[in-house]
Amino acid sequence: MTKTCPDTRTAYRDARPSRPARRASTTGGRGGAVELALFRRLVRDLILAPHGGREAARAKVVGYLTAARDPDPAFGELLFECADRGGPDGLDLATDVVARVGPAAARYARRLLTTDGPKWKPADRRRRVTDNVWYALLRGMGQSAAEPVDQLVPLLSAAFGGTVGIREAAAHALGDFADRGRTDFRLAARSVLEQMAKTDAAATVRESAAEVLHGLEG
Amino acid sequence: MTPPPVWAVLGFDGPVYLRKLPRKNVLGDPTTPLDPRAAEVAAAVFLYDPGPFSLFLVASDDDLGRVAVGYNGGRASLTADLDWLPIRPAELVAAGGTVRQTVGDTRCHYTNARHYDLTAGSFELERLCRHLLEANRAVLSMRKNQFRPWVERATADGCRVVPASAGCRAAGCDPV
Repeated sequence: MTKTCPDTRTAYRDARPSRPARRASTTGGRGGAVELALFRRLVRDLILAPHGGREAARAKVVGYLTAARDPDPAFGELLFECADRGGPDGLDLATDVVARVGPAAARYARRLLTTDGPKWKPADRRRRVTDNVWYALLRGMGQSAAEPVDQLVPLLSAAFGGTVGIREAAAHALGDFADRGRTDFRLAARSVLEQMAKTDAAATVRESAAEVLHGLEG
Repeated sequence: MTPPPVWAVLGFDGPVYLRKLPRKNVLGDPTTPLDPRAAEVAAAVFLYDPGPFSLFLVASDDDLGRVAVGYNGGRASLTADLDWLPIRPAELVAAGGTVRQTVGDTRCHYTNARHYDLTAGSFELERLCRHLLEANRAVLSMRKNQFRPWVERATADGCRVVPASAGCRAAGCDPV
């Protein structure tokens, strides 16, 4: 029987517009490209896995990222694939992976910030794929065991300099961060959220920050 | 701990389909004119997928809690945030969509039994989204704190999403 699945089961489709360029593999030449293609397959397996099979598929993706000498190209692959072709669960899938490989994700976030950050226009309300990439990256990082100090630069840059969609993501990620971090970092995250809730230019960002603060108090 | 009432607060008086959203703020910029905004929302909620589009039919807080925990069985945490777009059955029909009950693929039989596939083209989906925007339909967001009592109940029932479950004892949770 041909397998035809609704989108929570089969979110992936091939015929999609091209995505923003990702950094080329740094593992070198054809070997790196092959390795990245194999990793892409693991990500697609994760996206296509039924709910009950996601833990095993996630473990394979996490295993690759943990073992990779330079995981940055694979991070790009994971995040853009899940954000662009992951269906309704794509961002959740990427978030859960990033949360398990926190320190490497924080390094990737800082590097991505140097290339993508200068393109951010804080007044831009259009939704871009990269907004969703940052959503999964920041939220996963906020839920991870990465050193708080390593998370703060991307989190604060996104909170105060991101597009509207990235600032919303940062508000939710600061909530995740405040839920887990040390007391002093928790207080810092709350303080940033309070500032966002009061002063951000976009109503949706103010609402997101207020909602997260409310959740932290609940 | 009693789960918080959600259904009455939302003001729904009958069954409602829930469409899982990738993130909360996908309903577009309120300052955008309605037609382009409806197209943008249809793309963000449905059209990134080839379809059919998964929905869950819920009619009470009990349904909502069980379906949410069942859905989160695929996540790293059962209390992970969830955002849904509620759609009344009549709204789907009026927009021209067709809905068919199919079995979901979560670990929870109760959740799977409430799974439906929506078939609709871009024209119908944009019409549906335009209506939902006109009706000021709000996203139903479920956050970690709300989940705790539902997860406690799922654990007590032995729901299959809970690690080391020996089988669910909840009424209505039968293999489909």
